[in-house]
Amino acid sequence: MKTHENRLGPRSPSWGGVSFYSINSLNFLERMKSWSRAELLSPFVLGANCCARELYRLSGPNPQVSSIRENFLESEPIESCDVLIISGIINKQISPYILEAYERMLSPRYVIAVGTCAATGAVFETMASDEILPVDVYVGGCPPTLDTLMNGLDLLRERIRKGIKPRPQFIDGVTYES
Amino acid sequence: MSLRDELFKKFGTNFQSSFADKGTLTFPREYSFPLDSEETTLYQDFFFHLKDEYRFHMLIDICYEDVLGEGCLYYQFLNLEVYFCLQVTVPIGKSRYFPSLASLWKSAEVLEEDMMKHHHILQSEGRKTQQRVDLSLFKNEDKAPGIAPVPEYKMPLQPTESQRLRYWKRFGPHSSPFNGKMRVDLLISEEKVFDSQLVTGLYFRDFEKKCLSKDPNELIFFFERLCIKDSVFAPLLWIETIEQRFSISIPDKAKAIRMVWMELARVEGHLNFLWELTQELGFFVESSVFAELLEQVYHLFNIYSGKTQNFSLFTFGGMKKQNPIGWGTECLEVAKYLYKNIEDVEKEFNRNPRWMEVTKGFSMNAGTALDYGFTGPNLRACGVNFDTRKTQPTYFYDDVDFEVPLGIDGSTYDRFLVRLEELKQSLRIINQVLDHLPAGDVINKEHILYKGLYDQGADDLTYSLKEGVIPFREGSSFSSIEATEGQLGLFVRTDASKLKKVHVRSPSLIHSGAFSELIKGGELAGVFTAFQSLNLDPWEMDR
Ligand code: SF4
Repeated sequence: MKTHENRLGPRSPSWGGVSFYSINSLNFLERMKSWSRAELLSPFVLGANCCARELYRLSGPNPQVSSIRENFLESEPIESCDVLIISGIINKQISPYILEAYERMLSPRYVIAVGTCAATGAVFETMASDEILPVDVYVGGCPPTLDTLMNGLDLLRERIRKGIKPRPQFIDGVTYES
Repeated sequence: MSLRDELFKKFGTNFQSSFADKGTLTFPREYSFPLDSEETTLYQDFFFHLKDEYRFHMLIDICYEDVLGEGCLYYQFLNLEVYFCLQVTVPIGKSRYFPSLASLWKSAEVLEEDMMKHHHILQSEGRKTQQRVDLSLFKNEDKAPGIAPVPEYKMPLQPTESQRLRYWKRFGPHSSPFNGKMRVDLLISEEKVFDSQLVTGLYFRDFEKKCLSKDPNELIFFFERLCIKDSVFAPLLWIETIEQRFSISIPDKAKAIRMVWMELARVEGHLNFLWELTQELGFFVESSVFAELLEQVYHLFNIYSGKTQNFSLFTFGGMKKQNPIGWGTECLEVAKYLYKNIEDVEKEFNRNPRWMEVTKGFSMNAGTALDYGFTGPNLRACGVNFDTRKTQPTYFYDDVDFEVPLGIDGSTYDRFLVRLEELKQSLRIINQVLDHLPAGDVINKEHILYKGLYDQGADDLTYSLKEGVIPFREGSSFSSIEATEGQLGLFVRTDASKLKKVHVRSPSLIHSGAFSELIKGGELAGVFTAFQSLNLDPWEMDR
């Protein structure tokens, strides 16, 4: 019943046209661009649910998370963000709002699905987030621990630094750059 | 003559009551009428009689069940004077219609709407019809449904100056100030709000129906994911319901530890509330203090269970494990630290004129609050002394010494203050319980479920509960627990072998019903604060 193939195209190691280990194939300007992009990301958190409570701890006073704050900037209006963090269930009612938020964001935009609900929809047997959006990083757990969350964010930074573009959207057989 | 005797005398065999504070009443035949007709006065007369003569001033829950096409409505009423909970069962047969009680209890409006959403039944006044919320995943060829448009303001024929400038505006769900919470459409003119509309159902996940296909042990984990603010009360409520059914007694130490966990959850919930409110209003120094205190509580949770929520600690007949060595001492230290810090912050707030300025207004009087079915700190802020920890004490609540803080006029400031004070009282309870922690085991190894588990292996327990080897007692029950935000209720009906109906009474859903009236005519900026101060939990509301 999953529809990856149709909505997102076949999974391959080179989604964005650049393979995972191809940092040397970038020229200086491209490397500079991806480095600067990776150094300051501004995430936007979606959802009011149990996972989001854990996510808000990332901006809290816990000394464990202080390393995150250097590279992730909290910013309020969604138009100035480039990382979308989805958490919680996805159903027919909320999905248009998620798509709306995604479309209002800065491009290139990256998506992280946090928690089992958003990643696979397994807890309440709802939809998975990649049925509506291309997801770059999945973070598992119900809810994920602080460490797992930070690993997920670091993984995204790593990907950006290596010049991997966000996964494109496939809608009706047409590819759209994110 | 007690209320119970009065009801016995009036309704005879229709009324049954085996507890001093609970009873069930089957809808008397002489009041029944063809339910799909427009004639509803007789029906409403009966309920008016209940409200007027027997003083059931609160309608706390409505639930609908469909058994092979035969519908049945369950109303839960509460008499606050003597604390008596009455369940009225109304069989409505094959009819898909039922009369509304919104003219008698204001809480009925939001409860009926919620029920109609889930069951596609209609009200016979033809007042409202509601489409069933559809969970089915959209298929590949379907497009996602669009965003519901903002309603249009219909101007009267001869509008006044203010009416001419009115328009509807959408706020949220993913933009400030309702960040991720829910979508609210407001009718505004010159920074004043005249009407509002909550768009709910965004987090609908068909919780109640999915419960039926799980076994009781799985349901503990399922219930942990019912609310955002805490993951203690909902699973405990489920466990208590089952324990009552099977008459399982639990050891003293388990009772005490459950109490500590309940109060810690309350502390966490209120700290979360205070953090959000101060963050929203731009009091960043205070909010960082609350965030730090919250981390302390999370630290305690972490030591005990390795997690900060969804702990899976409780089980039928007690706790899953003994508390770690030294946890009690740590807990006492944290409680002391929290108490001191909260007192400091409180002094800051008491002297701060700007805080008084931004939180004033949006008051609600006690009568209206009762009519809307408020419970918990939102009700106590209006000055009604109602706390089931005092009136119906479970565990050791009648042995500990604590106070129930009350507000005066139910304004935003009162709602804030009541929660702040409750926090301190919770810390007092934790102190007292941990000082007198009983010794012994934390699980009752004699009870039937435990024996089933360990004599036959874990899989067999699931099997025996599902197949009715360990029989459920037939019948329905409504139980509730004083959760952080009010009375969390659970209606369960079982036949001899299976769960047939699970229904959750969500306090947030009921509080949301009063939002529209609360904010009418208020300043736009204050509305967001008032919304925040009601502390609605959309995750629990939409279920
Ligand atoms: S994954 Fe678990 S913790 Fe996260 S939102 Fe879903 S139920 Fe809650």
